[in-house]
Parts: sequence; C-alpha cells; structure tokens
Amino acid sequence: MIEVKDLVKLYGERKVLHGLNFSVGVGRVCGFLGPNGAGKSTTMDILAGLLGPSDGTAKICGFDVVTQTREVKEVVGYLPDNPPLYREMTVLEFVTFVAKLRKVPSAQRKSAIERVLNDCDVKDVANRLVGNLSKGYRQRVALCSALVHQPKVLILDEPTEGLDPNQIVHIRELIRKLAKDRTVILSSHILSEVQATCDDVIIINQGSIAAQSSLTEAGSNRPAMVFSFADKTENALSWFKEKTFVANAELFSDKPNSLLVSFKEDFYGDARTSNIVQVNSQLVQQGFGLTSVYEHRTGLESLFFNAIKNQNSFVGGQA
Amino acid sequence: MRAALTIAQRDFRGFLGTPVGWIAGCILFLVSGLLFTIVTNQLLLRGEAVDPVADIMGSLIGFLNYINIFVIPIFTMRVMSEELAQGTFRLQAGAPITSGEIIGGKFLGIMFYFSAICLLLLIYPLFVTVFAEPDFKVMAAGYLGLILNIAAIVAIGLFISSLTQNAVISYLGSVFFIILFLFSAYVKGAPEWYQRSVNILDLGNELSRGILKTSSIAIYLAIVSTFLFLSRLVVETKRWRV
Repeated sequence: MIEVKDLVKLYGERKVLHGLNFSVGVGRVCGFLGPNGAGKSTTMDILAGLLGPSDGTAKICGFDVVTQTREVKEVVGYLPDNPPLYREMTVLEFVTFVAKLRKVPSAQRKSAIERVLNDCDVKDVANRLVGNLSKGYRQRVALCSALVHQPKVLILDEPTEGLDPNQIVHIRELIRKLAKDRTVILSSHILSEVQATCDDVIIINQGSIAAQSSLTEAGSNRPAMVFSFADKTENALSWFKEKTFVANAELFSDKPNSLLVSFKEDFYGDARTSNIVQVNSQLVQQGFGLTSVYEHRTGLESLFFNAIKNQNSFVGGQA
Repeated sequence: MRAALTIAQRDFRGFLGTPVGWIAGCILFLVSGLLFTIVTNQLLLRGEAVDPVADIMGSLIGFLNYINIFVIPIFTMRVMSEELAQGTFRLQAGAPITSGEIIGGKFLGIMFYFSAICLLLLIYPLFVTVFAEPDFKVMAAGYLGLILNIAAIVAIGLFISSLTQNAVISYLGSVFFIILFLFSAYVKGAPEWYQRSVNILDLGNELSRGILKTSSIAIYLAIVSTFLFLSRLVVETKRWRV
C-alpha cells in the first residue's frame, strides 16, 4: 500500500531525509516515532503529495507521488500537525467545503458528511464557528476533513495532540476501526500513544530510519515484571538473583520497595501464566511481604532510546 | 472548473464572514460617495454645461481605479499569503485539483466580491439617470473599464502574494509592484506599445470616455492571463522549493 525507496529530501544544502526505505501494508497502523526535527513531517508531506522528494521514490496504492500526484491525493487523507482550518466557517460549512474540494459526488456528500461528523464526535458543534471551538474540537474537525472522502491511506501527524484523555481514547478507537481496510501512518512523540494504537513502529532520527519493528517484536510479548513488597525487598532481590529462570533483577527506580525483574526466554512459553503464578506463590511462602505484581512494558521505550542513542553515537563516531 | 468555483465561493463568503470585506466595502463607498458629492457640487456651482457621463462618472471611475491599487492587495494578501502562513493553503494543495484551479478560484473569489461592490456602485449611474440624460453605452464602457482594471490588479496582487507568507510584505510589495508596473510606462525610451500596455489607468480613463478598442480588451486579458499563469507557476514550484 505504501512503498518508500531511498527517499531523500534536501532543503537547500541541508539534507533532511537520508534515503528512507520502508513499506506499510493494508490494515496496518504504522507509528512514526522520533525526536523533533527528525524528518517525520517532511516524510508525511512527501507521502501526501505536498512536497516533492529530491531523490528516491514513494508509491501510495501503486501511484507514484511525483508522476501521479493527483491520484495520490485522491487516495490519501492527510492531517498535518498544524490543522488547516478556516476559523470564520461553521464546522458543517467547513466539512462540506472540503468534501466538495475532495470531489465527493454530490449524491453521497450528505451521508459522507453525516458519517464523518458522527465518527469524529463533532455533530453537536456542527453549527458553531470553527474559531470558537476548543483545541480538541478543532483537532477533531480537522480529522473530519481528512476522512470525509474515505481515503484508502490515512496520514496523521500527531492526531491526538491537544485532546483530553477521553477524546484520546475515542480517537485511538476510531483509528483502529478505520485501519481495518486502510493503511494508517501516524506520527507521535508519545510512546504510549504508539504502543496503544499501532501495529508497526518506525523510529526516525536525523532523517534516517533508526529502527523498524513490529510492536510485538518490540518486546511487548516479553514484559519485565515489577514486584512490590511491604518490607524485605533486599531479601527478595537476593532470592531472585539465585533463580536460574531470572535474566535480571534490580531495584526499581520508579517505585520504592519494588524490584524490576526480567525473565529468561523459556519462562515466556506456553506455561507463562502458571510460571508467574508459581513465582508469586513462592514469594508469598518466603514471607517477603509481597503487595503487588504487574507487567512493566519497556519494549518500545528501550527500543526508542537505544535506537536513538546508537545512531547518535554512530554519527558522532563518524564525525 | 467546479473546484475553482468551490474555492471562489468559499473565499467570497470568507470576505463577508470577516471584517475585511465590510471595512474595504465601507472605504470604497465612503470615498466614492464623497467624490460623487464633491464633483457634482463643483460642477453645478460653476454653472457650466455638465456632461453627466464624462464629468461625473468619468472622474468617479478614474478615482476608484486609483483607490483599488491600495484596496485590492488587502484581498490578494488574505487569500494567498495569509493562507500560506496559516496552513489552510495546504488544504487546497492537498486536494486532487490542479494549481490552475486553485489560482483560478482565488481570482474568481475576489472578482465576485468586487463585482458585488460594482453592482452596489450602480447607485451613482442611477442618480445620474434620474437627474440627467446620460449615454448608457459610454457609461457601460466605463464600468467595463473599472471591472477590467480590478481584474488586472487582482492578478498582479495574486502573483506577488503567492511569493511570500508575510502579510505586510505581501501588501506593501503588491502596492509597490503595481505602482512600478504603471509608472514603467514613463521610462525614457520605452516602446510605444509597452507604454500603452502597462498604463492600465489611462486605458480605464479611455474606456470611461466611451473609447472601446479591441486592443484595450486584449491588453487587459494579456495582463490577467500572464500574472495568473505566473502565480500558478509559483504555486506549482512550491512543492520543490522550501
């Protein structure tokens, strides 16, 4: 659905994209992660047909972004980081304008607008001026404009920015729902956001891909565990260190009287649940005062920081 | 073409939805109203024979042509530079339409607004008709000149505004460029055809005296199409420059 090969973008002398390569299939939600200025928005602009690449190719649904820009724009719905909105229009007028601009046939226009207003939960403000809405509502109106023509590929640049927690959950659900028969690319610098919504993750740093992984590979299948104790944490630590199935055990810095324990690979097999139950019951028998146990999903976080650290040190080494 | 009309309609409503359209309208009506009163009074006080079309309507349209040099860039700045700065231009650039349709839409949007103003300005010919017997053909030629002058200034303004995101530079740059364009007719050694082509204020005055030539219309069309083409070129190349 999206195929990017050796994508390069130069802004004058400055190279912002250094030959990106990736592909995203139908029904996948791909998260673009990266620090500010990494090249996420530039990549998205190129994929949406708004910016021309300096070198390399990008194809959306088989259409080339350089030679078949019009076709690309027909199949792409794009929500930029700074949502383009006409403040003096009402929500309904604005979405109708975008639907006309996007060439939604007049027979289907009314139902398309109705559907998108419902999906993005802005029907109650349909007759209000966009300029008078809160940031969260404005973001959702912008999302309406990206969805009104039912695009096959959805490119969202920080879609949940400015939304309250309720709205974030709602938008996440909406993205998951939309992704069933579409391809979605979303950028964010909130790791939990990507973890909750995406199937794949691409980490971009300094214009090149620092890491690319499916989120199950990113470690969420083998989470470390946090064990909290009323007292005797040190005793529990030495108990864990003696066990052969433990890969690493250390004091957990985020929570007092707690241990962060990661297990060896065979611990996470089919008997994973019974293994955890067994460890818990042994801890209780030992009388360490176990108060709580939960999974600590560090996969994406460590992937992100390691990727960026490795790349920076590589670049630094080169210099 | 439909996309261009959609953009034109939006821009036209946008002018009426914000103070810009109303304030500019007020300025045009205030100035034209004052001028109409002054000219009429002066002519009547002198007690000379008055030609209602050449003396009254001619000076009114001539003055509006001057004023438009300073009023129209406000609109071109709004639809191009401000939209580029606010990111709303990306909404249109991201839609499956050509840059020609975008520029055409913006041109038509401003023309719709000024056509509405011209329609309301018909109140002066109406007065003239009530109190005198004007030559309608000459009066129509004068109005055509006014509209063609507006179209030329809009096209030039759109071109300058497409070059910058800065509203102040866009406005001042447009006014400066239009004045430069007009006064380039007086550069020593400029060929006669050039002198005649760029001085659209003189062409407008010619039309308001009832001198309607095919060459005048062709000059206006050439100016409008050249600058619209250049604006389209600028918008198209924006994808490749940043």
